Amino acid sequence: MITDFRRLLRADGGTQNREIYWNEDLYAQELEQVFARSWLFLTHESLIPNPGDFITTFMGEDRVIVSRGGDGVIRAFLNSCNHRGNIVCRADSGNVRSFTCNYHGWVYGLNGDLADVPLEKEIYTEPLDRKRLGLRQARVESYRGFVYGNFDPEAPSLLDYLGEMAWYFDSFMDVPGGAELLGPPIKVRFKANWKFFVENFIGDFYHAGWTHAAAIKVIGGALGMIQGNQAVAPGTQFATTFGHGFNASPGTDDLFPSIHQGRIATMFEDWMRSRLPVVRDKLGTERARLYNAIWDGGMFPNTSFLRGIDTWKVRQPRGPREVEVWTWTLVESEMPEELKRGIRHSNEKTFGAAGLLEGDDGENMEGNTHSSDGVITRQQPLNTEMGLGRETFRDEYPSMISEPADNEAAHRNFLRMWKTMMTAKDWDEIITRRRQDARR
Amino acid sequence: MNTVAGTGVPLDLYFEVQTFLFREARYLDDEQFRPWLALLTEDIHYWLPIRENRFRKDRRPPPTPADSASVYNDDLSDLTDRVARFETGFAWVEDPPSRIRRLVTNIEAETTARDDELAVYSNILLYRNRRQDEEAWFVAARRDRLRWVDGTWRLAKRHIVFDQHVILDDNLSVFL
Repeated sequence: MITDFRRLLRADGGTQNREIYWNEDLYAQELEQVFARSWLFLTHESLIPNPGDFITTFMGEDRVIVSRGGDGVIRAFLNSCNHRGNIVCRADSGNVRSFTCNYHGWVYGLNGDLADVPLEKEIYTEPLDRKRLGLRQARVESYRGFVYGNFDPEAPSLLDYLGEMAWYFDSFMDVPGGAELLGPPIKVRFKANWKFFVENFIGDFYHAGWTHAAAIKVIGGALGMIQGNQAVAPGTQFATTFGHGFNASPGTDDLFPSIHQGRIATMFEDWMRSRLPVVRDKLGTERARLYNAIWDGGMFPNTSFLRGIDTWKVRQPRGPREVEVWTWTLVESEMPEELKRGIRHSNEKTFGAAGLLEGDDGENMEGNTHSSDGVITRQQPLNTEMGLGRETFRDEYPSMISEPADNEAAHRNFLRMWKTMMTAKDWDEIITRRRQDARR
Repeated sequence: MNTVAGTGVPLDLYFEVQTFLFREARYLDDEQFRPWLALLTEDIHYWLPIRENRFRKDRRPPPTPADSASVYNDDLSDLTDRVARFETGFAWVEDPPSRIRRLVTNIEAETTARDDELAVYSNILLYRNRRQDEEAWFVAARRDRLRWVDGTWRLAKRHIVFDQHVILDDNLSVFL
């Protein structure tokens, strides 16, 4: 295990050795230290509403089945048979009574227990220990319908892990009826390190005006002002104790910033106009401002999202130089069906697999990653010093903030959380070190 | 009248369909996007749904444009926006441009309930080569409707049956 991170990441997170984006040993350490101990996004409750509904996904590179049992409880367990290791379920989603391995027909229940072994009495000398041979379970917890899994029994609860982020998430998740995701996810493979993608959403509002200049010129709307770096957008960057963060550029009572176009933009504005007073009553002025803002953000380690574009993404790691990006659409449950469909279309048009903006990001992330194949290039540190020293606290917000939204405070915070997890021996140490860091 | 056996489509019409599809592919290969848009009807629906791995016994109906996750689920204004993005001069991803070639095969044409429309089936193999050495191969079937409008054929509907689940290259920002 690599323990000396002084040469890999400056203490404030403001410069990085490129090694953190290509080194195979560090990647293996990430799977053990970060992915096997963090709360990882699995699905939304509304996507598996009935007993027997399931999806298959990944936690790090571990395949998991997420299924709703006959008792209505959602569980997540390894998708690998305990006999010879074969993958138990090869469908992406569906509804079943049980999961049967193709190799010898071992049957696992909706709760992951070993339910049946063909010819067991005839061929085994002793009855099999069913308890020992069930599929290994992850802890599963939901926050406002968003389902996460964690393989570390010592990790804090999902709510504690979200920390200040829960307060921010409530701006759009604790609205009447709540928020939900439309699936199934669109999946795209990129030749890039997963962290670059997460950082790009968690704290890089700066790139939007330039990387996406062409798309923003065509789409216009609230983001039009930053097209081609003509201006700095108003807004704030937020960074929380356990590495989650986002930028928000708020609207006003007349301006409802989004990327939606035409009829859907009008419907979205009407919806926001009708909801804003309700949200203000329920959650207060600050969160009403956040509700009516365009956001780009992320949850440590590998979830990304955009509000006002209404995308939700998971960056599934596939080695240090590859990543699979899974994309859902984020909507409010009580929105009319036509608006939900329109938002889905607008998300797919901008941040789907042929998205007007998604296509711009991918190549940058790949360039960031693969330029470091060169041994001299590798020696050049990378830089996230924007806004350094402007990190501050304000009474109305529970976490550190920095202004303007063009900032790299959330990058640095994400990477400091990453370093803590990469080196800390257990969650007690992670929590202690991160609480110290959050007071900086 | 000579027809293509079993389809009711006259031979000369079949060749018109084939010519239409080949010309369309050439326009796209050559980045002649405005002439390509002119081949589409005002009410074009251009759809590429994602394809999930589902068990054969799965009883859910196949996805529709209203309820599916899609890569494209576009009308003419969406497609025009995509073309306009290329034309801004700021689409860095296509500058320098990719090298793209489309091979269109397995063309069938059938009559429909509408006198002015043909159902057209074809397969497409698209090769994309970018930058130094980046390669992608995309294979899809297309379920088209061609409509006779003001003395010319136009594409009124395209359902692209794309043969990947995880899209194995950065993006599908190519017209199939």
